Amino acid sequence: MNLRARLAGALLLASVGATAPAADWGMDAAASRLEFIATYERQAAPGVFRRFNTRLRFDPERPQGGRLHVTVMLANTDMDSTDINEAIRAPEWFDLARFQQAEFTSSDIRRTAPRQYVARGVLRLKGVNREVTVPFTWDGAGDTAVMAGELTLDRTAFGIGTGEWAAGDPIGLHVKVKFKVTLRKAG
Amino acid sequence: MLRNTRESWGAPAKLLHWTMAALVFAQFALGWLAASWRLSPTKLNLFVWHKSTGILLLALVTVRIVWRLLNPTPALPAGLPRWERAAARASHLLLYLLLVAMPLTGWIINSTANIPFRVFWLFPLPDITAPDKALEELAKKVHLGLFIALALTLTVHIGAALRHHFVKHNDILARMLPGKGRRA
Repeated sequence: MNLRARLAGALLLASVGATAPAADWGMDAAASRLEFIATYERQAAPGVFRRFNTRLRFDPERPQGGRLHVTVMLANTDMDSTDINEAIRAPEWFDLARFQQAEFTSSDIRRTAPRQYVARGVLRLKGVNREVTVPFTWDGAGDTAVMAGELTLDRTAFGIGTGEWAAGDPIGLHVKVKFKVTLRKAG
Repeated sequence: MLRNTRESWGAPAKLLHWTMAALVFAQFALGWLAASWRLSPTKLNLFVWHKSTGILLLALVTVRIVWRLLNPTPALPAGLPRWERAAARASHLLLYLLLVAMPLTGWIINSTANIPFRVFWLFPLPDITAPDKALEELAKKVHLGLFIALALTLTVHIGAALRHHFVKHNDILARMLPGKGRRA
């Protein structure tokens, strides 16, 4: 009885180990950063998304089946200038009265090289859904991991900067987005 | 003659005077347009023109002050009342101060507002202060106050020049005009 129970337990553990679901990871906000670099008159105009969250289900050894979900509170966008921070709330830009949040969802994560992955998914920004590929590196040690990467978006694909602003001058069309996110395995 | 004498202004002094006169009036128009234009690429471009012209004026006034200190200053006509001499000296000093202070306060606004800016789209202007909303608001008020002071002082300056020419019939205005004053 005792032996059988232990045997069953061991078998169960083994089978769980074989098909172990990918771990759930939560974000350490204080140690994470999501920033972007727009351009004005071809000069870098950087900004930070001060409030965002990342939820991830991921096994770096078996990335397929992983799932990434990022939400960004656009009201907490900071371009280090009170005037600019005020201006980007307007309908021509983020239109914060109607769209408070941006979202990226991916359930298609692949490894491209050791510790390098891409997450293909949908970015929902200002009411527009667009397929986006997010490359990232993964540095994990035990229950902590850092994922980092960058990508370039065309702001007009999402209607960011409408009307006269839709031309690439004086505010450029391409915006680089950079992230470095510290994740902790959910207990 | 390039250099000033006790009787006449040299060509560089005249060129600086009239170039800056034209730029200062252009600057009034640009500043007013830029401030009142609705937020649009045009507004940003008007500000680039206004800020660039301001930096150009700051460079010119620096050259002008140095040139004035290195040269004799043409004397005022004999027989000018003491109060007019004192008023002329005070208003000219005030004009120089305002021509320096206007671009400097503009530069402070640009630095505190932390908006990237390249002079005539050519090279970036370094910041002279950290981003600071309170200081930005203060500098904007001072900039506007200095503009009013400059407009008033220029009114006196131009009025006095016209009075010397048409009422008192001396050569104070004429000797600043191009081509005059070679008789020295």
